[in-house]
Amino acid sequence: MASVSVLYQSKLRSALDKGEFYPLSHLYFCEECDAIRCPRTIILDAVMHYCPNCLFEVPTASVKSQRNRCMRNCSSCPLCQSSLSTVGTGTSIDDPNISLDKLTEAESSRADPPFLLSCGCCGWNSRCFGERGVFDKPTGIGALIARGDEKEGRANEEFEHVRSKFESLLSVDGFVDDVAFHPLYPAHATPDTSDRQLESLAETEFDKLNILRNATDLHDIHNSSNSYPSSIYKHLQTPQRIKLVTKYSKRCATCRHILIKPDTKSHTKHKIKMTANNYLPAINARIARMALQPTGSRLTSNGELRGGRVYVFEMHTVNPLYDAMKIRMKVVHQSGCKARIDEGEYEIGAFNDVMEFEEEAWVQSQARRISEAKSVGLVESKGNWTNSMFELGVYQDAKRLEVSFGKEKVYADEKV
Amino acid sequence: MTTRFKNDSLWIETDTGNRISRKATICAPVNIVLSGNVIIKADVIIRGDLKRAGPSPSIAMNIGKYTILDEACVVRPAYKTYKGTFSYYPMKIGDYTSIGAHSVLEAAAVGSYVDIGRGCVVGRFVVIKDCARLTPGSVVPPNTVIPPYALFSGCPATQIDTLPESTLDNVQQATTSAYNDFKMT
Repeated sequence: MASVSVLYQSKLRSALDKGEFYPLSHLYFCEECDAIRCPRTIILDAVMHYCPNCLFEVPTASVKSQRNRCMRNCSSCPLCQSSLSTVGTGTSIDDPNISLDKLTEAESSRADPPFLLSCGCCGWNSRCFGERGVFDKPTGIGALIARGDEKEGRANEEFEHVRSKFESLLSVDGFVDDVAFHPLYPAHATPDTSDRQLESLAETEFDKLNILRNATDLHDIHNSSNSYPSSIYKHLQTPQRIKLVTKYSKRCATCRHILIKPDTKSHTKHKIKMTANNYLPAINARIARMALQPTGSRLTSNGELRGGRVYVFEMHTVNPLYDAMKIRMKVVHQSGCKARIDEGEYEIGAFNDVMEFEEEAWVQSQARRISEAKSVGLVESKGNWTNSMFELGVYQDAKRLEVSFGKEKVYADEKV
Repeated sequence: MTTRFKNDSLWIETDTGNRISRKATICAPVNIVLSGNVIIKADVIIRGDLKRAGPSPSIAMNIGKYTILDEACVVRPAYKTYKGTFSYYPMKIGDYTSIGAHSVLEAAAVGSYVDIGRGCVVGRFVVIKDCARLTPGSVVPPNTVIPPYALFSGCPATQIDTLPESTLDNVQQATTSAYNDFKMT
């Protein structure tokens, strides 16, 4: 209970949807709308696709024909899903000290044909397929696996299902706010009748896989009604090509301005990056040290708050902007507790990165220690951060405390 | 390089701001490059002696700035026998990276802004790209590539989530302040 998490909420257009709270790091800020944008109030556009294993970019044109999988050498182990490596087990160098068993491990490769796929995690190798699992060349193995998939035709069927489902969704992307279903965030999905077809395909597979994953002994698998279904069985037998990863550019759903634009040359950098932590004050709240607590307000032995007591919390606010910002807080919503907070306006100094490193004295000169003894209101202000106090009266039977503060000028709500 | 002793008994601080515990085991420091502002805590083992075979001098380990090696982690170069010759391969660790306590790292390359949790095992020739994160206790099988902004977890470790774009700034701030707040006691 004594652990505090600070979450922020973006203002949603729709009055029906109250919106969710997110940590600051997951939010974006639209300069045009002057508002926070959360993963549900943005629009995603695929910019490029790349393989997470070899990190090579796949042209958008060939993504569909390759079924969103890597065409190079990347494949995953049929037993443990970790990536396989190509190993040369050639015998052109005769060394009696190295047994042939060892040669299937990637770190003892001789780089001569024949080549095998070998898993560094569970020890599986493609020799169990006999002739089919041994290759003359170390490249283009992905293409060979793909040929095997095509014969089954199952992948095509699945792809068509998924595509028809998402096409219907994407056609209404103008109302992303109101759609309770987001392609990337299926956790928020409310299943409707049209989803059934897709789910029947995907969910049964998933359930069956889960039974296999969670099984601790053979008995568990036998007890489940459909033990080792045939399609899963085939899945587990052959290496799968590694699925591609998509990089998205992200736009504000309201004004369509770009919030995130990845740099196609670098995997790390972004050409445009409007993340909320560069615009909103970072807030950290924690329980103030014991000397400041009212008499009788001690924590329980395992660090939890006691019901019926009043506790003082310390709130540390950091301004990331190069301009000073004014903050006024007020309690919007509370459950399980009664919060007392200073509703007056106060200022947080501007962020100054040069000063921060070079002139410790400048920061010191800005420091104002307002009051040590106060239990509510601004206590300390220094450089671009302030410390302020607020009080929480915990109700007798409260299990979880929630306080929302409305903040003017910064458009943030806070949940403690 | 001259060293300046702040706390003679426990820590060494170099001119470039590297803070190294005297309880750490650092083999063959000649083969190790620290870029500055690196923290190496107690009982860390760095195997600089495992360098590429041959008489020519070579670097076994390259550690970027503001990188933190937490207590009792083991960092050693990966090895393999290629075309019949056994050799160690140098490891490169980027900037603003932290390696959790009791982790064992045998990667080929670790990018910048990477966060490796406590008690992880990172296999030989693993490549960890920038801004990736490993949850505590993950086991990464050999030859795995961890893409940028990926959150890996489990045994064997698989990708469970993608990290937000603000990760780079947040990790940089967190490691810088961890270095500045670090007390050599």
